[in-house]
Amino acid sequence: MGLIHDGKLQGCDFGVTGCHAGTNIMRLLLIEDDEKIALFVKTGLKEDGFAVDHVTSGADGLQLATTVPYDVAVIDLMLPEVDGLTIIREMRNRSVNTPVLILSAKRSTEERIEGLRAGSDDYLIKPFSFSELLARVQALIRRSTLAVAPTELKVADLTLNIHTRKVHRDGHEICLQPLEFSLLEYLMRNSGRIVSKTMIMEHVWDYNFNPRTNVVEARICCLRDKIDKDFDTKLIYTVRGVGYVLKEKD
Amino acid sequence: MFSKKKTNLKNTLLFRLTLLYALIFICSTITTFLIFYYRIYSVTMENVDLDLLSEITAYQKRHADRGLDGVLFGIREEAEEAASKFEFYRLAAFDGDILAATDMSAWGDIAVTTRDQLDLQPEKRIYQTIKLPGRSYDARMLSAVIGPGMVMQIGETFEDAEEYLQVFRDLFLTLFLVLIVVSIGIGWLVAGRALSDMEEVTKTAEEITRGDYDRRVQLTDQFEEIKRLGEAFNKMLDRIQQLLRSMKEINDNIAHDLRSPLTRIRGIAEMALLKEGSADDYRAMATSTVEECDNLIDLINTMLDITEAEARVNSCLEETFDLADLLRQAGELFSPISDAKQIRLEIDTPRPLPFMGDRKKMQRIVTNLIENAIKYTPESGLISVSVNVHDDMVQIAVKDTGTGISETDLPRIFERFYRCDRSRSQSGAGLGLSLARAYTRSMNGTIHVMSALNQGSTFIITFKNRA
Repeated sequence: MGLIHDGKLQGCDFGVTGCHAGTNIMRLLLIEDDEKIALFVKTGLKEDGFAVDHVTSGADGLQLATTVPYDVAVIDLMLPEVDGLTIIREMRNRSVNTPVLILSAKRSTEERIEGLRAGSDDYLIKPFSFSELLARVQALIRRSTLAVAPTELKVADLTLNIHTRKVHRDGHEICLQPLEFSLLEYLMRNSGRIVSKTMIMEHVWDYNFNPRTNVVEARICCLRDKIDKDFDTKLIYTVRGVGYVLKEKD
Repeated sequence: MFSKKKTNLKNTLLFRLTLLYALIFICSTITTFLIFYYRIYSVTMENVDLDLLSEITAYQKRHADRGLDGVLFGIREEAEEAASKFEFYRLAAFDGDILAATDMSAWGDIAVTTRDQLDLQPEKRIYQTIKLPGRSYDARMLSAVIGPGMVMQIGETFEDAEEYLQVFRDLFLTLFLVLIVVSIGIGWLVAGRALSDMEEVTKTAEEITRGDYDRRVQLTDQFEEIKRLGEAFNKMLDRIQQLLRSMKEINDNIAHDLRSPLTRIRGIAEMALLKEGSADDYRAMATSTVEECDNLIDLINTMLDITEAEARVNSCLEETFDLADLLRQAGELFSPISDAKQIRLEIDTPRPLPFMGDRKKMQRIVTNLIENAIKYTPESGLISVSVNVHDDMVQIAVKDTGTGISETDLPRIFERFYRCDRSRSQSGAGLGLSLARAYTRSMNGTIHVMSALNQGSTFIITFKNRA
């Protein structure tokens, strides 16, 4: 790391532990004045291998954001001293290109647009699910590191070719409907990570709301029938109340 | 009636109206008087002129009959009558010599009319108005040739006319003053009457501000305009009260719909604290908590969506998209659910159908209607979504063979939190149709429903397509 932090910053917590062995530690700046929200976000992110620096005030956040090279920043909009939008604008003014995810209780389209115009990269409305936050943060990092999307996704013995739109498991071809294919692609791209129903609705169906009838669950059931039913090892798991995850047995 | 409010009198409508009324009255009265006066004055003048003419004619005749002596005799007779203050007679030669005259002391310096002046007139007669020294009235003088080389001048004052003109003027002035007072009074009363009705509206508004929401403007015998104002005012109040009532109802419903899941969440958390359990127990509790929270968030978000759409806070995003595609996707979205219930879900739409509007809102309207249809259609039923295009109108019909809606429920199904009794047990907060309606309206569309119990319902949404 080799970076010296100003240890006198109020409410600053430098967490560089909890990294997963063998992976690059991602440095994340969290600017959030609600201690309880910050606590669960911090805990969750650390668990997932992030080194999280958390500050509660906008002024401290601005100083850190503009002096320390973070991989990603998660910024609340309503902050004491300096508000979130100002921090983001200031970062962009100083050519700090750290991807920024806004956390906000404001849900109107105008607010979102304003946030994105200020130079943020994504917008998450409170209350949010942690898995969604994690997925979005990871997506931002992927985008910023310009990872080339592979043409073939592979989890255990399951392969999905994006170009030929063919799916194989253990050498057998599996026929999927277009929607099932998109759903599987999304699950495989996020393999090992939990995706919520809302995220599936948004990314697979392009719907930004959750119908009351559980259309996602129904679709997952169909997909399971084709992917998991005839095989000994299951790949698609339900995390009750949170979402779904496609992974090799843990 | 206005004084108690300490308003600036000059700025009140009452004052302005009265002033205007009085001004108009005064102007028209003065005009009338001037026209009258001028007419009377000119008629009087004409009479004097006629009088003078007949006198001159008489002297011309006298000269013709009896010569110069007759004329001189006549003038002497007039001189003896001692009315020299009011009339004069003078006979002069063309060279200016006075041949005979009555007493002219009261008439000032009056020049003898010359032959040249007379020759200019076709009838050799000249009428002149003369200012008299020291007198308030004027006089008329007629000069005419009555014989060879002789000019006769006869003057007569307006004294008689002046007397009754004076009476007329005095009378007018008195009447004028009285009428001004009366007109101001009448103006004040008429304006006050109209405005007191208006004041009634103001008073009602003030009372309502103080919390008496049931108050209405009494509509009895006001002027038509004020009555209309009152009616509009009352109508507005009715609407506001209706909104207040429905808002209160909604609040009650929200409170109820929030309280139940909150109670459950609290209960679950309390259970976790009270007794030792296995990790699986705790996990199950946490799962329930998350699910309840998600429901709550959904409920609140949907409420806000409806409110925002109804208040038109967020303008609709305009984009052109394929409506046929959107409908087919919605059908696909629900196909696993309808399949599970063995419901046939048919999407019948032309391809493609470009439509301009808010895509996300349209998605939500359509899914809400299909979802609603699936919910109320029993197994092996049929749901058909069809599109009709007439000119620039697009009509989407979602028809089901479900339980239908009773007559009593039909008018209320779009209300927030309204659930027909039989569906109380069903899941859902009763916001789906409200949202569909709010979104449809915010996109300037209309939504209709036709239904027959146990036969099914048809929801029809109609939009103007600008694509």
